[in-house]
Amino acid sequence: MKKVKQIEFTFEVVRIVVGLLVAFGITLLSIVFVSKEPLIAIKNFMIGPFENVRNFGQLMGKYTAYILSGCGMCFIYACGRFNLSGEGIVNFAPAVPCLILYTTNVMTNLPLLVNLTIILVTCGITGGLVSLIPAFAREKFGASEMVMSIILNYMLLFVSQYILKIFMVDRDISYLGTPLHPDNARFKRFFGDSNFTTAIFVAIAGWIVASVIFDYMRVGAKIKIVGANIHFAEYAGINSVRMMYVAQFIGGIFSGLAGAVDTFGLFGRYQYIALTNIGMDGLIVAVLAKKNPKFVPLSAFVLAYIRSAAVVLNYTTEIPYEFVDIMSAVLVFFVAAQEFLSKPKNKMIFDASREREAERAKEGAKA
Amino acid sequence: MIAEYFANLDVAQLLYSIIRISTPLIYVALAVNVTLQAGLLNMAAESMMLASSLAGVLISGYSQSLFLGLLGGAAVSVLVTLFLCFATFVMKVDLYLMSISMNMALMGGTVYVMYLFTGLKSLTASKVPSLSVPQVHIPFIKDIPFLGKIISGHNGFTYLAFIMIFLVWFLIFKTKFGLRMRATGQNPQAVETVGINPRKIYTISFAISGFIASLGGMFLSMGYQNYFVREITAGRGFIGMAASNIALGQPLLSALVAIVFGAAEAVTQTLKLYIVDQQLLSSIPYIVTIVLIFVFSFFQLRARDRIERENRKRLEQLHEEEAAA
Repeated sequence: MKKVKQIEFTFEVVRIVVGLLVAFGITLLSIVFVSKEPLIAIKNFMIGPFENVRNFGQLMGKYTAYILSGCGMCFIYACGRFNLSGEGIVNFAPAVPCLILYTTNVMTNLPLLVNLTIILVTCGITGGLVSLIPAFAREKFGASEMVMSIILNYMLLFVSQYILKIFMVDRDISYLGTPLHPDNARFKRFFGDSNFTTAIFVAIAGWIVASVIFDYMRVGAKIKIVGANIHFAEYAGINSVRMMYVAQFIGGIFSGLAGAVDTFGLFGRYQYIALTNIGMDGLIVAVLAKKNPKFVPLSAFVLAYIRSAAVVLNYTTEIPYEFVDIMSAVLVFFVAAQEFLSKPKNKMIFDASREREAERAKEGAKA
Repeated sequence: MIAEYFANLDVAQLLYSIIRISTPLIYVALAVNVTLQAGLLNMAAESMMLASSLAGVLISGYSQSLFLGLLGGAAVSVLVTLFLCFATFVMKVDLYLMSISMNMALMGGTVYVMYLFTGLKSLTASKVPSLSVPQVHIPFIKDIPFLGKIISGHNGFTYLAFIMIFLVWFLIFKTKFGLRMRATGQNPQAVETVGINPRKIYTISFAISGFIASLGGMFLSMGYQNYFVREITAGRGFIGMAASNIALGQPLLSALVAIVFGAAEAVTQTLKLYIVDQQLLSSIPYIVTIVLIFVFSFFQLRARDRIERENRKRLEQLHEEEAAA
């Protein structure tokens, strides 16, 4: 059996590598196709994100949020419910601590750590509660949680804009946004003023917690069983409805945290006027990580790297940023395609099993 | 403010714009119906609309033929749909996952293609001399005082949408393929035992769905206005999907729900003149949608429960009769 597992693992890796190579190839082709100076463009794309502190900060800022939303999506994905409210939560959850910060003076004189705790806790709880709305609609009334969550995303976008505009807008700036976050209520930036902030520690802690819950705790095991086979879970005595709620609550918490590190880390103020796509990218991160939080840091880095490289390319050459959207879809296609390379894989597994059978037969004959 | 709004309200104008705004939603709702009846949710309507609306603009602009533009737009949309089918039914990628990533890919991809052709990333208006489907003024009806203002003078696509409601109903409930589709939707395994390939049914229904959605997409860029703007669909694909979902795939009902959503949108737009909080207003159509989903699924649940209870009662009666005999 061990050998079969080995083969399966090898093919998973091969599939991801092939997906990356194909996506990369398509990128290079489209660069050559569009650009007048393809070599410079390719160089910008490859090492652009590491070229200076600013670009690297941008990469790490994205990376931080992707780790958290990716971990959250792993849980939602594992329980088998397509709750995509993470996208709206990233917009909405940070509005709640912002309300506390800008309309009351609770947080004005508190030390940094206490403030950050308040921010993270309120964002997490808000996110968790919001993601329970589609879950409730599904478990209680049988409405499609996916349809609900997508509509919810748009609603949350406008509601959080409304909250921003009515309660905490800064009239001194020409666009919609709160005043700059005070120093005792934001993650400290590394390298002076880059977008790489201490929020990375939140992401690391979140990753560890997510991995532990997912792989080493009963809740994680139950969620996985419910997602794999709900009838089996029921027969085994697991309260599947409760596990659905728990999984989506955890997913919501992580999305909320992703919103928190984005608003209070990467940005200087709360200024979302469009959906950020962090939630949907979290889904891609989770898929690339094979739905296991353990691998999220790797896949989040891949996606963050691709996205920030595209940004660099966008402002140094004439290649539009939007091609990365195509690229990430190609990646998803190759990584999530169960039939891709399945023939050689099945053949290898069959061969391995036959060999083992033959060995056994020989041993039997000897005895 | 509200009183002022009602005093200045032109009812005929409002009803006219409700019909106009509902048109793409009706198309999407019908498109989703077709796959919903086959048992799968078409989440990728957004990407189909985006692809067809850009393709329609580009092809009609460069060929200067409206017919070619419409044909090309529909063909591109069906191609996109077939790729989705290939990915999900042959390569076995999760349908929802592939739909979501296709939506994302085409959201960016259309901007990329637009940039390749026009050098602009926002809209094609000044660069591509694209054609559009003309408005239709129905003779006689247009002269009826109140009704004429509402019914006549719409875009050709709008009238087609209302014909399409009937066509989709006919396809689903009155044709052999429709029967097979519904059977597949109810139980794919059972269908397989009588020699129908569910994957084939899925693919065909998705292709039909892609075609209908393409009409909605082309209405946006070749009817509503005559150029392509980035993210032109603005979530309409999802609202249409919600309408179809609420109506459980019934063509007439889902078209009605789509019109309700269109009405929410139209009222919101006219209210904009009187209420300053645009953000709150913009959220109203979505709030209406969410409330409707809750209400409808509550009643559907009650109906399901009632049927179950009746069945159980009938079964008990049968048992009693058997015992008595």
